[in-house]
Amino acid sequence: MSTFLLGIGFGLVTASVLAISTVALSLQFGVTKVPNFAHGELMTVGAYAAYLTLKASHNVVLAAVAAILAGVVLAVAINKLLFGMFQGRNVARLTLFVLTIAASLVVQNAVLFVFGGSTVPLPVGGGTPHHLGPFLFTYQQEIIILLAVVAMIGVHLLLKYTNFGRAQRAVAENVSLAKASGLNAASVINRTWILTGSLAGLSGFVLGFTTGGIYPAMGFQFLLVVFAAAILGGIGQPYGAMAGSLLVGVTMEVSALYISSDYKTVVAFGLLILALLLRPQGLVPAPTSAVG
Amino acid sequence: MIAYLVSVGTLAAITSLLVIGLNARWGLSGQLDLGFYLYVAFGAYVDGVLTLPPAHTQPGLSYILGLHLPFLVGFAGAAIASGLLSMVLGSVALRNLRGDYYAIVTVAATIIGYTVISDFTPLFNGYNGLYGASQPFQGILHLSLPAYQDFYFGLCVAVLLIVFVLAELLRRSPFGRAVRAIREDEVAATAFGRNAYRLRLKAYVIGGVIAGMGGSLMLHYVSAFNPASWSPLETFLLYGALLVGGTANNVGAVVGALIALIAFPQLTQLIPGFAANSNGGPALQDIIIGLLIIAVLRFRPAGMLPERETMSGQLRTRGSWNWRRTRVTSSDEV
Repeated sequence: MSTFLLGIGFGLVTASVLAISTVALSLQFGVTKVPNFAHGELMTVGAYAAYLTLKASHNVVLAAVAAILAGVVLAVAINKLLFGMFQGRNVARLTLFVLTIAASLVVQNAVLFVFGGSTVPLPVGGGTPHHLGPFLFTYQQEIIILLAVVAMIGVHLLLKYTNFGRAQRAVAENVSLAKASGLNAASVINRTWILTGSLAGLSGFVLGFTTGGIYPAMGFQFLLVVFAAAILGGIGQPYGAMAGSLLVGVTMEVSALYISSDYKTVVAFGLLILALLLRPQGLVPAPTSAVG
Repeated sequence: MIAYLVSVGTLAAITSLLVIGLNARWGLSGQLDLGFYLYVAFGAYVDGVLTLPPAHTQPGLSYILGLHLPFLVGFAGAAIASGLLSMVLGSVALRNLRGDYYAIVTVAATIIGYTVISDFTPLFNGYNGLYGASQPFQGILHLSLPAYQDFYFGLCVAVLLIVFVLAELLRRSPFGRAVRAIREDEVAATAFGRNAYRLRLKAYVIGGVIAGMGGSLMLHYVSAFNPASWSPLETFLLYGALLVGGTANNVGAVVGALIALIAFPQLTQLIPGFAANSNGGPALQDIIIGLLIIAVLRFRPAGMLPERETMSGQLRTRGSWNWRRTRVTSSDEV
């Protein structure tokens, strides 16, 4: 059993968590064009909602549903309340970005205020690792990978074959054209936020699940890893996000075998900076549209 | 009571200095730099290793240099070191990136710096940080503790006043006008022969130098500096102060610092029961600042003291920077 393969195995788990969150960020960025700095907080509230549900019911499925709901509530609040306040006013994109920073500050510290700063373990069973092909996984980790695969296939089917998916892609491509074609852009954007919130909330729960504990800054600290994966994959592109997550997740975990694991986020941010400097269009550039 | 006011006043002077430094970057050049506090921390650490005695004389500590130099050298060293770091990082980031991508890279760079400083012990003693910083000029003055605190308050206010006057002169100088012209309309300013990248980098380095000075004063004020005493989040609080006070207005920067970062936190401490909850105070402070940022952007986007339009109104704001008068946001920006 080589340690390198072990690293890849861990990487696949991290990439699974990352992929769910990154696809969520990419979908939302695609339609709003604003990178949501409070995206990490969608994950945090999801994790805490799952924690409360687990404490009350000991049911993992219920906890996942609670995480999704919490993510949706916060995502819709950001869209409807926060961005809604500025609707119809001519605000720069950077202003909206600063607003999401403020939202991140408020939500993260509200969680800190209510739950305190210490790490609380998610009460889920440990599970013993066993061999699966060349890798070593626990059942939990297998479930996480499976969950990510199902979520990715779900997003793919949704985008490709439903009316909402077509509308979502149209708005992401060109919002004015979509409006002119009779689409209700505001509704499409809101539904995208709902989808983003549900995926991000779920990924927060899964993140707490893999790391074993949750704390108020968990989402914020994971945020830049998500940005790294999203930007590597070409921000605003769900399929690129999946590829970016795989690359960032595996690189992080494999690097942790060779240098101190304290530096694995540094490795991810290094990838982020390199990606922005060298290949800002992402690994998979967007197909150029007919309108240019 | 007097001692309390002097202590809060010293903190207020240092915080105001930091917000003026941030204003040199964000206010003048309009680049959303979320890594400002990295330069404050770097200044504090560099001052520390210049003024502290060698590490081997203190068991259990490890840091570079340890030259035991006087405060003035440490202060100058901090300003120069943060300025140099700004030049290196700024020349990479400002050449290639704009807007939100630039902001994301600056925050990523800050967290990288934070992680390396925390984990790499030989540099600045890792997570335990530096402590036992000297009291500036105490070797000459030999003051009692209360008298020394009064003196240090005066020293910080003096530095603040000098930097304030310099920053104000700079803002009105040809450089200040050019860099603000680029903020407003890069294409037009470039057409008039201005080099946008160089001007932005200059503003960035000036901000870094002020950050280093603030870090130095902060170190000698609290006498210790470690990763627990700063985090990448601090930059957001400084932005809160600047947005409340008035972006690109140095008076606004000071007023914003006093209101958002000094008055509000001190007032929340008066709420009964808060002393018991160790997380409550700082968490509530950050929540208030977050809400203040949202409220200011919604109801008074230019801040309490808006930037004065100089040059008899020639400086028309129509670039993407201005909060109020920009056109509808669209994907063709940046």
